[in-house]
Amino acid sequence: MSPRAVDRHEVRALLAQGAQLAEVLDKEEYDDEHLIDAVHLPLKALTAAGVEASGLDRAKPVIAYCWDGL
Amino acid sequence: MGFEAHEYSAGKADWISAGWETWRAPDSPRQARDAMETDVATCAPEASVGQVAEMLERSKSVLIINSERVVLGRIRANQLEGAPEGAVAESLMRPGPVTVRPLEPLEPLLHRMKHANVTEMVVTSSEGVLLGVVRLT
Repeated sequence: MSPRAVDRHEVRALLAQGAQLAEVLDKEEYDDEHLIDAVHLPLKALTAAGVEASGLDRAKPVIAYCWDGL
Repeated sequence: MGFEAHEYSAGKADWISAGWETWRAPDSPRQARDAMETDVATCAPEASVGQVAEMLERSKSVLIINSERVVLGRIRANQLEGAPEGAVAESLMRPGPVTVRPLEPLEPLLHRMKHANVTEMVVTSSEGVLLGVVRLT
């Protein structure tokens, strides 16, 4: 199933319910600025092992984002 | 991979442009949002000439915003001259002032403002919601 697209208001609502954020940009961009509490999960690391290493909790929803378009 | 997944397709640019909080590196290049001030004189479109005039005694200009804080226009003192009886802000304002987004690189912006003799630049979100102004000091 494809991820559901959400706007920023929905992101806030999901975060209030315990969702997690994952930024898929490269490390330099992530290190310069990211949404608060977002983990860094670049696109090339979107594998089972990469996700495992990211520390994301499988029991909670994940919201992935890029700069301005995924 | 077993997650309930969502995609915030408008992304980080959208979040920042809304003026919402992020974590930034201390040496991140300065942008309009770093210099903007939030003490901005504003009024509703239906504000009277008298109300606007009073605000202009303390401020060089007044921004007209709607109930969602979307910037509609700006009024300066010279625009009140000869205003008809009963006129309201919306009828006197210069609509659609030039605005920049919070992400606008600051130094080039300040340079452009100085070059164009612009002392105050309105900063809005991508939806036109007022966030603040950058002032040349």
